[in-house]
Amino acid sequence: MTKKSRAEASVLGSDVEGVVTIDADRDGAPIHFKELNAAIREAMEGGASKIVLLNVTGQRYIASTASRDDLYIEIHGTPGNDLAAFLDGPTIEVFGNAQDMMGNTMNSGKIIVHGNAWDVTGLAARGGMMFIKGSSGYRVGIHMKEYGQTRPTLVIGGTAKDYLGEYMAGGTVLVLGLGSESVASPVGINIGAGIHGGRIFVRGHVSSEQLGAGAIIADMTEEDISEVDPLISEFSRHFEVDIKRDWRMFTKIVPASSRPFSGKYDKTNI
Amino acid sequence: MSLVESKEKCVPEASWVPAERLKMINRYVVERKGSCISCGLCGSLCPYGVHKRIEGHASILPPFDQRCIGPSCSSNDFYCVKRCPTSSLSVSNSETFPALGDVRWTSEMVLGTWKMAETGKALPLDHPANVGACGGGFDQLHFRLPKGSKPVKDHEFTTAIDLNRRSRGPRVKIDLPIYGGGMSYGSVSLHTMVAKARCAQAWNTFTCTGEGGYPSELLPYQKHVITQVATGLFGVKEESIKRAPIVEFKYAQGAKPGLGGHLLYEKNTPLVAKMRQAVPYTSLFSPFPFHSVYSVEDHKKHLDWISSINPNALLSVKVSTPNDVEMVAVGSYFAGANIVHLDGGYGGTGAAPEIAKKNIATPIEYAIPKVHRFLTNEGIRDEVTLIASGGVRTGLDMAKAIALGADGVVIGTAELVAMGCVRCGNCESGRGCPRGIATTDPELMMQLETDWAAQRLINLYGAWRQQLGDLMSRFGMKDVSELRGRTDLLRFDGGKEVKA
Repeated sequence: MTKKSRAEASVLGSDVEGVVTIDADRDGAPIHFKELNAAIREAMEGGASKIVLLNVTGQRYIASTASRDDLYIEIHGTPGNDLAAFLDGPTIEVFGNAQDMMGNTMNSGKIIVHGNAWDVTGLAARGGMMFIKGSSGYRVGIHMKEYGQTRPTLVIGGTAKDYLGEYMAGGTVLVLGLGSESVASPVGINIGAGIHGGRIFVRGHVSSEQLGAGAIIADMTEEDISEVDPLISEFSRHFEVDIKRDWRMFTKIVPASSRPFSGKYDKTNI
Repeated sequence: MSLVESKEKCVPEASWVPAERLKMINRYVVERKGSCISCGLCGSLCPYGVHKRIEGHASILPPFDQRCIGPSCSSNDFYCVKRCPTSSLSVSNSETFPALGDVRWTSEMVLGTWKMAETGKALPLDHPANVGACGGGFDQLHFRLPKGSKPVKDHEFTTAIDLNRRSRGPRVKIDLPIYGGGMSYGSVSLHTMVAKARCAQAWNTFTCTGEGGYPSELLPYQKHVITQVATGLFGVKEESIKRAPIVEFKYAQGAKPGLGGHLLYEKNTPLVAKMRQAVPYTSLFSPFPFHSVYSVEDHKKHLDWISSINPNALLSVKVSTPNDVEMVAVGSYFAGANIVHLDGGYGGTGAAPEIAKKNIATPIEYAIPKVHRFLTNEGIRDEVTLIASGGVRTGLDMAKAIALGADGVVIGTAELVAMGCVRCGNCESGRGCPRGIATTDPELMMQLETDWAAQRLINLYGAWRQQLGDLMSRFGMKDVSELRGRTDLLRFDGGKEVKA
């Protein structure tokens, strides 16, 4: 079979105008990621406005480089690593968990995960929004950047593990800590290690021992509240949960300096 | 750039590109006092052309210090100092000369590189500028050169190598076993990058963008530009991946293994920040490792990611040289890499922390034979292109690296020296390089002219190629691939043999 006919084989059909449904499972076995991505690309090139992926089982690089603002991709199952890498515009909704490196270097668009998204979520993201209903793993939001008006936003409903926002250079991370009321802190240790830009908001307690090198705790300002408030509203809208807004519960973590570690280059300090 | 049609192939033409500022730095200083009566005797005596008078002029031109052979000339009849009727001349050792280099990049080597960049002519194989004085590595390895030399023409030997040795993917051949190393937009100026790209185009080889994004000025040279995916993912974009013939994954740098790139705040000008999509005048870091890659399987996933975006790109994996570097190389092969690029511990400009430079990674001279042997024993040596970098300073270093088992080399510092770098080691600090090479300051970068720098690089590449050709002809070789892995041609100065 040629590549093209293979791709067609997994397309279930497009009953409604502009909606393409693709089954990522064939005879009880997941199809190869290349095949799935070829089918998705074909649907995108065909002008689909909505793509529904069924039975996704760990296929990687789904919707990477997708770049149309009006495109909506619905994923049922568990997408594999690098979901939506280089994403530039579309909205992706995952009904399940996402694996590692979701939103790797994404530029713009929106990813909504009705489950968990694990390690290194939002790696080096440059823009766009990510909403995760559940929890997240280690080194989430690492090296997110911002330039001018483009700024990435990552909202995690549950908890995040160690090294949250490591080397962060810009953007916003919000951890809501839902369901973690019984534990001491919704985040792990070494939060914001090497952070030199951006801001991390945690709904819950963060002690100074949990901070990484270069991170400090700051007070919430009116400006911060006006940034966080609409994020919580949007989170509530996506996942239909109600969150009490008690701003005293929030901890804000920011860089101590935008220029850390310069002393390492001192030629007299060997 | 005009190309000379030789019998079989095109070699870019070398032309004379002097540097006004570099001519002040020489081994000897010849001084002429005011008591000179312009008799012109010195001009008629000196066979090296230190003293010249323009036809019809009354006085003699200031001495050409760079041509002088120094005080040892005193044994000759024509020694100008002794013969000067008014004792107006003096010859002494320059004070700048010993202050110029260090044991790895000796003053001789810096001057030799400048000379090759200026003239495009190869230095003789026994010239002191070909080896450093660090007492180890390449400086203790010497070729067992058979006696006698016969000059070879540039079409009488071939130095082309294949970059893709796997059965699938496009065939990519470069005319020299050299390509330019990754220096990012931000660490070096746009003029430097464009000059490197022009040289790469002229020589049909490659240069690399580094990880600071892909400036649009490089688009005319895109067939000769490698783009880099490094841990900071600065400026890594879908379109730059799609247009690149080779994508390089930088896992580590030999100069600072375990550390990421670091652009200090003052070099992060608004233009750099725009290219890297970051906030201007903040320090920019690349995370130390790829936190998404913790195993060979992760590494394969990483390569597949880029392959899924540009299936036609060759994949190069740049790793530093830990003790188990051979396992890293095999893992890279398994993951689908076409090029394994080993970066040894002696590279690095000023922009690597002092504590890291030369103190962490294994020297490249140990790593190359280790990997070459291991890949040969695994039976996959001929499916991988092995590239070495990190401490390749001269044409002979390149030849030694190939004799140890590499297919080719990547150079960085040597290119900068050809453009007039004096190795002051202040690349990272303040607004950047005082010579306008490693800077993005709009005023400082105007010191370097693109055409001038490009031609000096073309000259340097040509001189190195000629040196390689001279060396090969001494051993009766015609093709650079015959030299690969010939450790039997090398002699270790400590009296110990180098075993294959």
